[in-house]
Amino acid sequence: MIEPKRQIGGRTEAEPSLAPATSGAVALLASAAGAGIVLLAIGATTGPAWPLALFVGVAAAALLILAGRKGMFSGVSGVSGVSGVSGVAGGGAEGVLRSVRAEHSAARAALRELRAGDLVATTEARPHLVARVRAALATAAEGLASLADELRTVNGEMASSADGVVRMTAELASSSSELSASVAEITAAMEELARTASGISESATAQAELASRVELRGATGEDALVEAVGGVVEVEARIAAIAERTDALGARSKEIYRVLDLIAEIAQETHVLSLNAAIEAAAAGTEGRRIAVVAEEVRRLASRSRDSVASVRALLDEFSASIRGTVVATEEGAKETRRVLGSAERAAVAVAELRAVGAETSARALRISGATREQDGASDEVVATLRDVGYVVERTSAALHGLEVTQTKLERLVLGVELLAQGLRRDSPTSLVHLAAGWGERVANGSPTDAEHQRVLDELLAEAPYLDDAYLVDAKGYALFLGSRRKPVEPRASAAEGGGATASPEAGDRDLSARPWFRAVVARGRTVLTAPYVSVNGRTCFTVAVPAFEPNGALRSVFGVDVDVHNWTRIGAGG
Amino acid sequence: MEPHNSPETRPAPSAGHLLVRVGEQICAVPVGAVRRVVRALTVHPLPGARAELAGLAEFAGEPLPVLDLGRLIGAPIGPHPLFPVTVVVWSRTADGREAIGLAADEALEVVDLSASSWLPAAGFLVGEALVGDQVVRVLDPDQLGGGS
Repeated sequence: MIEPKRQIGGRTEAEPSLAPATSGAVALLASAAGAGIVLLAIGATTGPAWPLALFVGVAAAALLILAGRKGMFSGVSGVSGVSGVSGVAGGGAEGVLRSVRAEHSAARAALRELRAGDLVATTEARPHLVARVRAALATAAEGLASLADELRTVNGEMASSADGVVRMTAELASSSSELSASVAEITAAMEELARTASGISESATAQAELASRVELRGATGEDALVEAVGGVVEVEARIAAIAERTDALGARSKEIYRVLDLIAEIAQETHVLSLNAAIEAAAAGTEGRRIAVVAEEVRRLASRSRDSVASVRALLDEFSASIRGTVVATEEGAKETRRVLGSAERAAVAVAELRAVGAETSARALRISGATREQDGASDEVVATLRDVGYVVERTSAALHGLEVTQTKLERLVLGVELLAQGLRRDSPTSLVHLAAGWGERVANGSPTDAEHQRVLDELLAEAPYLDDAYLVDAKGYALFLGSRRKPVEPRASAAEGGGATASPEAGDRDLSARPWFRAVVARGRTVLTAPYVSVNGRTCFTVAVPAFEPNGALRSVFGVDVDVHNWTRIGAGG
Repeated sequence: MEPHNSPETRPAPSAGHLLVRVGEQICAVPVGAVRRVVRALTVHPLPGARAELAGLAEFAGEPLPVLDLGRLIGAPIGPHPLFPVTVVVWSRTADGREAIGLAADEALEVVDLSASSWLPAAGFLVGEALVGDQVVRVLDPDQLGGGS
């Protein structure tokens, strides 16, 4: 009896019912199964999946051979070797052959699933399959699943490490960029400093020369001032001598006044005497006339003497006035001389201080010039060192760029390994193929109405945040339902229920028959997992497409999901 | 008191005269009446005497009444006297003559007054005469005595 079975994620296989007696040829086939698995696995595989098929085949063969050595096929051998032979002798060769064929067919189907990487379908119940073979297949599937899990774990760690390296590289690149900018700024600042230092050095040298000239001029001025002070002192001494002589002259003038007074008095006495003589002569009559003449002459002389004394006194008054003026002028001159002397002495002190300051300024300016010259040299060295640092930073940036390329390759490698592991359908929430098979069954079988179909798609998108799109297409590649996380480029009227995550594409947009995943599903009749590609929104994605078949084996529909690699590795891989 | 040489002779207007200055005035004293011209004597004022009597001085061992000539003739005050003099004159009295001192600012000279310039006057002023263009008041010493 052959019962067709609808299956999602695997071809519907016509499985023979369990034979009443096992054929004796099974023993032979069983003994040849170890080698046959490898050949089957390799022979039925074409295309880029052959390494996986080789890996699966070798692993299954090894597990079956190991099971045979441990007596797993002892029952089979017992049936085929001992009971089989007795069965052949008792039941007839045709029944044995049929049983063997059924068992062979079941084993082939199971191995085909194993080769395709469907570990879930591999371990499905097959009545014709011998229990030990089934157990061996289950063990092989379990081992492969465990291997895939370990592979994914290691790959996840590698991806995490790669992420860490990426972050560190990014930080290093950022730091390197900042360092480069800082080095450039510091270099510019140091060059500016060097130029400034050069300018300061020149200014300081010029200032030193100027201060030196000030010192020389100050020395000349100091000598001139000392000479001037000496001259003023000499003038003061001479003025003092003039004052002394003027005082002596004044004293002599007073003596002259006294002499003049005496002369005037004598003249008056003579005058009176001459008058008395004239009086006496008059008294003497004619005899006294001669005396009167003499007396008159004496009186005239006395009068002239008085006039002369008056003239001399007038001259002496003028002379005394001149002397007094001279004394006053001399005193004022002495005062002015003392003032000039004080000013000259203060000027001499100031010039001496100026000279000292000039000398000190010259010395300091020379020291500043020397220091700035040294600073200039040091700045040049710093600039040279900074240029070396800049060169090192540039080399570091170049190396980081190379590291980025390596990281990109590493990320691709990690993604490749992840997709390789995801090629196995395992009964695990981390197996995208397994999850997609469950989702496809939910979409295809669990929704009686179109609205329900769309709701289920939207629910899937809500449940699995790493999915960008989910769709169900018919056997010709026409999209029946579409769910998308991406917002449509142009808003379109949404006829479907389920909110803004869904979109109702145009008729032209619904023909997905040319998509690689659809063609691969049609060609291989199996669940496919595409190579990564860059989606329209610039994200790296891959598609998992799950076929569903009619009872007669014809393709009924294809359920597909677009998985965002970044979100999957961040969210999905962790689960 | 010296004896009067010729008491009855009155000096002729044309005889020699001693000119003295008193303030701004010039007076003429007949030479015959002049006993001596001396530097101004120290005068001791007499209490209660007339204003014209300056006081008593000592001359030749005798007391000499000295008259302030300026006050006597009412002459305005002139230049400050550099060499003031006392002119001792004879003044005839009833019993002879007596010496009287006349305090003047300056003794000038002995001149002969011409008759043409003579102008008559009264009292102790005999008259006025012209010496050059200067008016000279001529004194009569006899009128200065106790009888005047």
